[in-house]
Amino acid sequence: MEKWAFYSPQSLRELIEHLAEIHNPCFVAGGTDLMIKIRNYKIKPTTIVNLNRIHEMVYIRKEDEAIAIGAMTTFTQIAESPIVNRYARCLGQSAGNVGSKQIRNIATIGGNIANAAPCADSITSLMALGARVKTINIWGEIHEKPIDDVIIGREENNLDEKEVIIEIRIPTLEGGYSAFSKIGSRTAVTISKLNMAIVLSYNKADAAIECPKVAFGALGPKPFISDAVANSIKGKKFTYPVIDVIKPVLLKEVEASIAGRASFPYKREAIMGLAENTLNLLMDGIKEGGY
Amino acid sequence: MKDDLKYIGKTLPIHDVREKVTGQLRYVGDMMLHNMLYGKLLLSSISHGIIKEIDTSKAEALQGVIKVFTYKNSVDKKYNSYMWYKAMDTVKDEVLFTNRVRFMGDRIAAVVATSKEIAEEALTLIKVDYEELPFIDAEGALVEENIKIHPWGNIMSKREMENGRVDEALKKDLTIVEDTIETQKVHHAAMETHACVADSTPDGTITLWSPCQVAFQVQLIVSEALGIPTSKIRVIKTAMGGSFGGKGQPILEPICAYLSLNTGAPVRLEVSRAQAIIGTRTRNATKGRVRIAVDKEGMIVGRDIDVLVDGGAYHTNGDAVALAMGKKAFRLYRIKNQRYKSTTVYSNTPIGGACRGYGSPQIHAITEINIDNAARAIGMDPVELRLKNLVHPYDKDPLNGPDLGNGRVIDCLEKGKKAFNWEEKFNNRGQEGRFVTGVGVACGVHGNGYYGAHPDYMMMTLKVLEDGKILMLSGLHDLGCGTITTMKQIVGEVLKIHPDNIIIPEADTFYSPYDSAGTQASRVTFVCGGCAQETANLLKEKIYKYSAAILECTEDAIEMLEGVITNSEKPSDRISLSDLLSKVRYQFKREISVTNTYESKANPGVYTVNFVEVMIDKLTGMVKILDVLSVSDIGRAINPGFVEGQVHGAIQMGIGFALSEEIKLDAKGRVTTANFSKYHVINAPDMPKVKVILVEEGEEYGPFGAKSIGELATVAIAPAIINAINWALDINISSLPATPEKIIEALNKKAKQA
Amino acid sequence: MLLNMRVNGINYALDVNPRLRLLDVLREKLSLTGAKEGCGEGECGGCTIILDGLAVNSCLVLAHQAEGKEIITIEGLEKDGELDRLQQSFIDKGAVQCGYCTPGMLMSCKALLMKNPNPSNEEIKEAIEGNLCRCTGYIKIIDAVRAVADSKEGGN
Repeated sequence: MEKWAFYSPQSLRELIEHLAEIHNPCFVAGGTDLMIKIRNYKIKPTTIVNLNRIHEMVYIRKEDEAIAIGAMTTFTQIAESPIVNRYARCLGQSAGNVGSKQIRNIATIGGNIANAAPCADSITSLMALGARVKTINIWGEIHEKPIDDVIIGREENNLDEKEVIIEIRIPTLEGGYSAFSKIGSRTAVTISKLNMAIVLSYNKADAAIECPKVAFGALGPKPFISDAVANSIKGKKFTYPVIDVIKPVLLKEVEASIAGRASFPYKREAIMGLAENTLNLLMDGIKEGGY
Repeated sequence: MKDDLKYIGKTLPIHDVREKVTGQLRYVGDMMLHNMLYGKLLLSSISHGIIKEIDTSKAEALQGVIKVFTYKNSVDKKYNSYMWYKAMDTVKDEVLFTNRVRFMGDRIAAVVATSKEIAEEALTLIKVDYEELPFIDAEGALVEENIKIHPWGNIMSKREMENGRVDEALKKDLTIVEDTIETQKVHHAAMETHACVADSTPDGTITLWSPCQVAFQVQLIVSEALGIPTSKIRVIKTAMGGSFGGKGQPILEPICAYLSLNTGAPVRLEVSRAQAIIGTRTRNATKGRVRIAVDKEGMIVGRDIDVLVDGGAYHTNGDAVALAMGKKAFRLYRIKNQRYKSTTVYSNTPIGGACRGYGSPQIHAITEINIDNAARAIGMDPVELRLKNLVHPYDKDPLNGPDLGNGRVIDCLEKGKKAFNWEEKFNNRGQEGRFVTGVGVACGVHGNGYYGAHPDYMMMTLKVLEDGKILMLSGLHDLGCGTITTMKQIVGEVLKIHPDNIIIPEADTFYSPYDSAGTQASRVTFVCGGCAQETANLLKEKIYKYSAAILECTEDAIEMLEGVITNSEKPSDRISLSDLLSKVRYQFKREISVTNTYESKANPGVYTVNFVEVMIDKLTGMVKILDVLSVSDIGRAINPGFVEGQVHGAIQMGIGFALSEEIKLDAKGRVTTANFSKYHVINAPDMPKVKVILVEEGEEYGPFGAKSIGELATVAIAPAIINAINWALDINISSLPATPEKIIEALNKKAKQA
Repeated sequence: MLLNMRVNGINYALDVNPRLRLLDVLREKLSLTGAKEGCGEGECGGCTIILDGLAVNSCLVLAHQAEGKEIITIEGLEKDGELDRLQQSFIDKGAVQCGYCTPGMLMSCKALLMKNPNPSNEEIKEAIEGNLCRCTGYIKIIDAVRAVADSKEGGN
């Protein structure tokens, strides 16, 4: 059996210093997705670079106009974070729905983005939130790019071989609210058949929806933003049954994404329930206050 | 029933619970022998084809690989892993490693290596070149022109049984309701995957450690497959991490024995979860067409059932499952004219086998959904219709099978109806809005062993030990359900001695007296328990006889409590069991021991009725089970806690059968659900509360009146759920599992029709 | 390659192949075979252990990822021959049948009570959502955790 080299840097600086020498590194964050791929021989690593000892990549901070989440922050930490639940509630909701308790305890947001699964719950929320991904390369250069540019397809990211995600930045929006929900095969520990996140700001005075953003997951090779659905609710009042407004648009979106697929007849119906669930969650959020 | 019982009817913990909660219990996968090697299997990646070439050279070259076995270098003797006694007449079509692939999961090769990691890597280095053949499913097997999976054709068996005159009954002026109902292939999902350890000596003697259900069957199958005498094979039953029928047939054992014999070292052979799903055994899929004729009063006048049973790629017990299904159809309702026909076929799909209920969940899904549809057709409450037609205690089997005994299904239904508040719930469907609710009911019958079909007897030795404890030697197999504790309670009750003082090792073919059938067919409590009770009574007689001689009194005066024997006429004359043994050995030169052979004398029906309430999301098709009530006629609960536990687990399995579990295949017969992220068993958040009511009216031949429960408890839940969904939504789901996709499809169809 | 970790209160320095999973090392190097492999994919929870206070699937963690960490396995729950109250409650409530899921189940429940001594039934179900059991239907397992949480000592 081939031996693996195993390397566990304890700081970002140490990581950068050594990366240049490491041939074909296989980064392990939480490892929950990667381990399965290794076990199935889908990935045959030679050098493992373990990131879980870089404690400086574990944080959730509120900054001026954004919240910043270290890439090695786990889904349990995100789901339980008051900051996330105040300013990016949909992300907290999706983080709390990832896998099982045991998975959430080690799976990280950075790992989830790099893995780029089409049904990844957190990515749908990050898309709707307009998240940006900060990475570092072997020269220590830091880049920041929209999440939509990092994930380019089914389990495909456009990170360089030696580029590492270090932080996720989510812009905060005054008077903003968000919600995420999913449909799987059972209540918990289930891969999304369909998921959805809505982010909007809402002016309580005139009760109208402003700046809506809507994202869907498991409706194609990668989660995506739907301008059509967002536009359909823009300016609408919540007192009006928003669900009736977006139904035809949802249907078109599903048709455009997966018409002809075996899953189409189901998803075109189920998306209505999903949208209703998401809107209900959003209303609950508005009642409670919080983004 | 008199209730001065000391240990029967008491909830005691399972005998090895302390080892289990401390992680100390060694399952076979935890075993390590000196110089042990690790075996791994290569299963086929296609569903049907011929191996043109197989190249194992790269795998053999990997450092740490001891040997690779394929059809080219291994024994080629045909066997049927379902056989558990030699005189059984069945088709032998399985070999250790095949060169003709008959399903995705067929065994191609085994690697033996110094570590499991090396063995796994070696599997990826074996190159197999297939000539693919067309995939034949169960329906395809019926087409005469299609390619034959086995040389003798694709039909495994046909059966027909009938009472009365069905064709005439169905012609009468009656309401005839026809349904075609499909049930899917299901994985047992025992948390422990299949594994075993084999060791061998240079003279060719093999010792196998296996979590098996029938140790003597393992011995027989190893002997058949390897062509070596049974006397050279010792099988030791190990701790069992769940079976549910999945470990009933020896699958790995003959291979593991072969690997050990041919490497001269101990070998542990284990399969992965994916291999357990595709390459072990499954619940047979079925498709049943039922026509039922009911009159205006709701009396069932006739019923005609025609079932296609998908046996999978090898024969195993496909025909036996079809037969078992048929028998059950005649033992639940009084139907004067009934016919059951079955066609069992080979297909290029995972192999069928025993699975909790052995055909009962399938036949009840088919018939109980149809009965509800019949009730709907004549506008009658489905509980009322059932009450008019169910069997009564001491009814005869219309096919002259074993008597039904004290079958109390009517009591179950009446008690359950009241406890569930059926009438109110049934008549108040919550059909408004997005989330609708509804209730459903189904009944079921199962058996108690093999009486009337196969030899059903057990040999047992009970002896008093030096310290006054009692040793039971027998071929018992605890599958994790509490068999050992149950036997302790029975013997303890007879001898009035605490069950902790009864010692019961599990089956070991070298030391255990023969048992004809092992832990199968819901026979353990009824037959093995019956044996334990009878044997304990014989031991008691012997103890009393010796005690009377030693205490110099009559046997009638002897009393025994917790190992102390007293002359009741002179209570100061007493002796402990331990001292009694010493005296008997010294004075009489004998042991206080009995060996008994017990043959089962009956096979009564056991009955269950399940009520469920469901809530369905009309937009997503998701079903939530809100409430379950399970009422079962089990004669008498030896250990009520165990009975509840059996019911809870059976309901969990049945909900999965109804809603989510399915081994799915693509158009080429490849399994697409070979892991737990795609094969969805019910987890804690989806498990409803389950209320358990027991009807305990006693059964003549059962130990202290007890009958079986573990299989029975899973036979009625799925149709009850489907009936609830159909009632709530006014649809007719007729294919299990009722996935959200199928529910949405049915709702769309209904909307189009309206 | 050297691996330092603390398991059930004992410090270990082990020579471990980087390819091995934490589960393999616990079972094969330390003979702590309580944790079981039921799927190898983090779906069944049979291999659950407590890693730095959190329930984790040891089949999804490379052994060297546990460098410097504190691990509790099922073998570490019993103290001085006395069962943890959760273990005793599993016995008392009949929460154990075949026992194969039991170690993982207990570790998930223990991790819950360490963090939240008074969980609701929903929280108990969430804690064991990643632990499959085919025998019990979870009902008596939930009862067992409930009983500990409701006892006068609480879940601590």
